[in-house]
Amino acid sequence: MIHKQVINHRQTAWLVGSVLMTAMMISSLHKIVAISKMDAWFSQILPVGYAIVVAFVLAELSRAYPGKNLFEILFIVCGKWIGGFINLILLGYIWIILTLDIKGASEFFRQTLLPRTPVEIILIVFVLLMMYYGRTSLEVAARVNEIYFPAYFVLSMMLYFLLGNEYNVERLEPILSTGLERIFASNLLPIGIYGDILLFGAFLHASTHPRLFFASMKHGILIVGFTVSLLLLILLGVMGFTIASRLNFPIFILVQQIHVTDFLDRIEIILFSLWFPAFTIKVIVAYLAFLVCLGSFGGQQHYNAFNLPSGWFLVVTSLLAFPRVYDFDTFLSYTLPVIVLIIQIPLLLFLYIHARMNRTMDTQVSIPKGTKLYRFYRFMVWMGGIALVGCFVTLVAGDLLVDKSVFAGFFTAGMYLVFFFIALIASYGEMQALNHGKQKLGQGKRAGTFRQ
Amino acid sequence: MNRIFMLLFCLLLVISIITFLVNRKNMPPRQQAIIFTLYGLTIGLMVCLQLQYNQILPFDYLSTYISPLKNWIERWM
Repeated sequence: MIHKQVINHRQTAWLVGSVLMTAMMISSLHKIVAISKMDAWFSQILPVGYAIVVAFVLAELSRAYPGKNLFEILFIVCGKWIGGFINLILLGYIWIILTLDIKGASEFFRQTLLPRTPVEIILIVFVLLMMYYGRTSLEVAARVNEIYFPAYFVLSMMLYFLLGNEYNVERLEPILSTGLERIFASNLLPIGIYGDILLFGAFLHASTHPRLFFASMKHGILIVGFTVSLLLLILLGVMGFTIASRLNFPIFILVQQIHVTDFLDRIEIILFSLWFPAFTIKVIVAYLAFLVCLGSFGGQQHYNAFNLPSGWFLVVTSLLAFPRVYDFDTFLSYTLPVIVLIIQIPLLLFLYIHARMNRTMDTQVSIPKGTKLYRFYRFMVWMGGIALVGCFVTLVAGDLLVDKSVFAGFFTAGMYLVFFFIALIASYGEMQALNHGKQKLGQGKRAGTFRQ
Repeated sequence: MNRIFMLLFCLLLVISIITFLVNRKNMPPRQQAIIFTLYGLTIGLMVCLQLQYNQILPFDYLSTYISPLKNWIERWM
């Protein structure tokens, strides 16, 4: 869309949160639990690190090619034919994400909440909703997300208290007893979902402050990592790894376990009525990225013309792909991470080298050096980095050096969670410091940092 | 396949194709080509769906062949 629209740093962070977190709720968690059993909640640290690296490369691209999105940058860097070929691969990748999400959500709703409704009807209603948002822009999705994401996040956090009567900490023991190989393997699976961060490359042309854009994405990624770790902790504490690893939709069953009082029944309906719009935002972001990619082939920025044909195409391909839940599940858990690594790592490495050679923006941080705010910003950056490294070190040292006693297990787990939480808080501090710096420099007259 | 879905989908598809054919003279040629491709693929795949070709697609084996991760995890874990 050519007309200027604006979303701010908080909306960017929450959009990243929605895009990465909601997809994990449908499936994938039970495969992680099947691999690393009671240590499954250590499965987020490697994907978080990977997503932060992808976000960093996107921010570098935004610095080197201001006002251009990922697809336009590829055309500039690689030329019409090779650039077009790479964009075609990216279009296929976004199509896979969309098909997985649309089919996954339709099957999920049919099997859990709407057992008598045919999957085709759920699917077409979902795509019609997507097409409605396809006529708008990312700004509308970001505003809707501002209503639902906080509610979804708070409810996810509240699960610990709502399920307090069902929780048994002994189901988590012995902590760190499955071995580093299994924990490493379980860390590979979520990379498929965390790789969705590349979708934000389609909206790079709107980023005016690359450093703030990176800080917002990093904060969103850490929200997801910390929340999913806690959700896994609750899931394992309530069900134990044996049950959790055999359920197709473990989070749905987990929510069904809430028995606060006799009269407060069917809490899952309330929770999923909030979860569904948050998940829809994720699919809308992917759909807008699909339209922007198509628009780059069309050679113009208006993508409205592709909305209807793309929607119908997605209806048919979603019906055709993944006929069984098992196929969808296997693809999401085992094939998507490999596709993500094969596509993204060479592409981002190549683009990063080009971005370093073609930097046009010199000032990266919008805070004057030597000020109190600058010192606070540097402190937050270092603290976040050290906390993330601390998570890795705690995990490795806890497994290799510490004895397998109950106390040592809980001490290591506690340290891991504390470090993760510090990284989350530090990323928030970093984001706010950059935003305040931008406001002080008077560049904040524009309502946000990100326009489309 | 559900008949209400078929009716609704075909109706909406026909309306959008007619709208495109009416308005296509205002569009650049590359844009027209992309939209033609998308509609062509949609109609072709819908025919495949009616003939239930998706039943013979080996999605399960396909996932396993594409990804070594599943075999690796099953073998080593």
